[in-house]
Amino acid sequence: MSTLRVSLLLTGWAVILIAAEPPWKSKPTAGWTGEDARQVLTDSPWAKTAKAMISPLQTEDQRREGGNMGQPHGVGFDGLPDDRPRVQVPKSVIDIVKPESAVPALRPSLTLHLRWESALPVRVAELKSHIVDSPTLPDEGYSLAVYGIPYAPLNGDSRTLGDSLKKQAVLKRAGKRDVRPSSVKALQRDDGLVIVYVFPLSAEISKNDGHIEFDAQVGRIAIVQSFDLGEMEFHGKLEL
Amino acid sequence: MTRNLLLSAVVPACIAFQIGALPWSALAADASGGVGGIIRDSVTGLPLAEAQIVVRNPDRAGRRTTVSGTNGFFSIDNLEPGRYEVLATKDGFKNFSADVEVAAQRTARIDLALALSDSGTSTHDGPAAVNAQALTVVKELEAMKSRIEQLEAELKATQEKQSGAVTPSLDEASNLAPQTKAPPNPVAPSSQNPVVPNAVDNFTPFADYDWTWLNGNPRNKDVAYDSKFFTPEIRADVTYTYDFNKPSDDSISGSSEIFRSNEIQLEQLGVGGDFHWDNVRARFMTQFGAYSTTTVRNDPSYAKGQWNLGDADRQLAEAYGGYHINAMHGINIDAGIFLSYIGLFSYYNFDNWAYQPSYVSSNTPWFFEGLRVQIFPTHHLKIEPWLINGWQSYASANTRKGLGGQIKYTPFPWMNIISNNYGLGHDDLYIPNRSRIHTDDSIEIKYYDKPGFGLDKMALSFTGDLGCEFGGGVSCHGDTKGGPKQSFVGYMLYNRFWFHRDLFGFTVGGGQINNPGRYLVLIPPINGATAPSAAMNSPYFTGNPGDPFKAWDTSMTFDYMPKQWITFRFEGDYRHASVPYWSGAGGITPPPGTNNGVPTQYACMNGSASGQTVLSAATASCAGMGGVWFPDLRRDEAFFDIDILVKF
Repeated sequence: MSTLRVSLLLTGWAVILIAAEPPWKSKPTAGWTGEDARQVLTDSPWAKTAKAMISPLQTEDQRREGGNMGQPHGVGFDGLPDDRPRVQVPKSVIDIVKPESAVPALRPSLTLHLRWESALPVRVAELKSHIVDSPTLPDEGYSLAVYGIPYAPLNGDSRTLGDSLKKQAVLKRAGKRDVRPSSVKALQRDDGLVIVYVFPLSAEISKNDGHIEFDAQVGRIAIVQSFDLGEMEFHGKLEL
Repeated sequence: MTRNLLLSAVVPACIAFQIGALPWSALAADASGGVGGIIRDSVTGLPLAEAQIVVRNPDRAGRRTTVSGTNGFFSIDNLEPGRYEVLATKDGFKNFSADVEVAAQRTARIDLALALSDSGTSTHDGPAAVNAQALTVVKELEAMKSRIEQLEAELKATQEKQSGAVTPSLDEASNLAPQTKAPPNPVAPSSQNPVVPNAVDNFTPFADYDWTWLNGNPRNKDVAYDSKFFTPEIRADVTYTYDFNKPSDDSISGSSEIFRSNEIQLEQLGVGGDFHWDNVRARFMTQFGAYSTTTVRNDPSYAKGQWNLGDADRQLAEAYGGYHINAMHGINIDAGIFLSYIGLFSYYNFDNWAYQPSYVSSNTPWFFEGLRVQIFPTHHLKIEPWLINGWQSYASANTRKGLGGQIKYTPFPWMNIISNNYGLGHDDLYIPNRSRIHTDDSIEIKYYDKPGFGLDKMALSFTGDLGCEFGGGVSCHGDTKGGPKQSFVGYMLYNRFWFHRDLFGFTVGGGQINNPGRYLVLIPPINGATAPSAAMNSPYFTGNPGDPFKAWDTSMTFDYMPKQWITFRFEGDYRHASVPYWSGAGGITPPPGTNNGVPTQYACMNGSASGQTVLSAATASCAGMGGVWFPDLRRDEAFFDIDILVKF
């Protein structure tokens, strides 16, 4: 009876341990199921869901003070909520002097998906999922794609747009200089916009860096997402 | 039955599973293993012969070496189980090392690809080589690609055969797969997640923080209306001022904000806005009301020559057009009439902490006309050079134009630094060689910010000005050669308190100036005097070289701001000058209470012009008309004003 209990206990532990191991650690790629691939692409060390905050619309005075006029349009601006209060016609004299609500409005947010497209497990998982037009650029480097930016018409060359986004993105590491992308491109796809950031290999990102933080601004959308480099090992090698 | 099944089938299966899960090396710990593989050229993929391979265990002494054969193959046996470092070297190629786990009774396979030492190429994987596992994965990727192509070809053939319909695209085919092509689209914007910090715009100039607390900036946080082409703006400024000197002609002097006593007056009705399309821009704002007269009369320049620019432009507070360049954080090139913003306070009272600012601002907050370039090197810095007709003027009073500029810097969310500087221009009408230089520097600090229903915010502003004129009989330092000292020294300090989530505001402040020569003192509108008339002669309040003028003032302002579009303001002011300057009970208008149209001459007691600019001659001339009339000027003035300020 005692042997049976020990066996059951050990078996249970083994099952739990195996079940707890994600597919990229516990299975060869040939054995990945569609669900495994989906997990790699959506919830893995290489793919994160980020809650991006949306900065409030500036007033025209603020726009002008900053050298601009009119509300900006394009990627990261169009398709976002405009929850500014409008002028209400007073219904009485009392209404004119009655204070408006002092409760600050809630800041809207947006759910985005970030994925290291250059990472080998992601490429494998995309293939498993029949994604053969993954948003990669010909530029060599660490390639990070941001999914979920609301649709906006891309005026002109998407790389021109990317040049402006390039100035507003950075990879941060503790104790090292920030890494700016070498190229950025916005891709219009059937399922929305994808922005691809390519960071240069000369950054020499290594496991010793611990974590990297991706900070980017896309119009009014501010993205901050951390990645654990220790978790981003695949077959014993750092992949991103 | 269940128990028997458990014992006979499940338990043995579980035990077998556990055994299977155990590392096999543990069962043969005393056996040895080996390592072997192929050395290849990373570019051509061809095997590399005579490459030296060194295998060592970092935890143990000693190493094993071998050389790859003609087919690139190498092998080293009799290694104790454990982790080994395999180093491959060959002349002309970069060294490469990789770790490999050697298990008992097994030969671990590791293929190494060496890169040419001068190739300078690399992949995102780092070193040029990949280990055996990675090679396997890459091969698998290739196989999967082929397989997908095959499947898509089959799918295409099948569909064409079945319906002859349009061939689905690759995207459509992939959509048939159970896996999604990409992560799902974002959920609809949701409420604030307290874990995620608020978004900060770190690119658009001065957009990273809320700057509506600044003196001279409107406090609106929202836009009433805008469109892609035009953003309208409407301002209304109505004031009731009561001067305790009780001037009989209701005329107040020495201010560019208050003009009439004991009357409700429209200070400004501003209608205008911003036009914007692509990168082209334009803005205009009207100043219907008192401003269209009271501001324009302070500019002497338009009296030079023809076309009366004072009449042409008097209804416009701002009017310019330009182009925005998407370089750095933005560059603008604009031309037209601009607000000068010298003196920190805005020309528009809605934007200010107080209605009647001190002299440093009140004597300067108007406009200039010319060209300006706004350069934003960072989102915290603006550099704005000006090429303008003159010092806060429509036109050039003489032949030399003015150069100037503004630098605005916001190093912290609680600090704003502004520096305005001007020089080169000749700005004294009828005095061609007199130059003016001026610096106006301000700092604003928000030193307390705890939003709540009590005292929720405190901030101060300090402005210091230095300036002088030289040439044409005056000098900056009062040397005997250049002429009397003609300079301007002034400062003002304001502190503002906000209460109850900005529903109430309270400002206390004041300032002081010393302006020998009076070139920046506002000429009292005695008998309708203006800056152009005073440039010819101002018999009652002179502005000659060496004329002294010192003054100070203080004010307290209470604001009720029930909505961001409207302010109800109550203010009390006290002002003092070293010479008679403010309107007294007798007023500054000759009898019977209207101007005679000749402010350059002394007036007689019957209101008519004396025809004289010298007092002795005027005395004789007015002998039969009751004598010479004199305005009632005082050294002190106290007043309060009640104001309604609207801005959409």
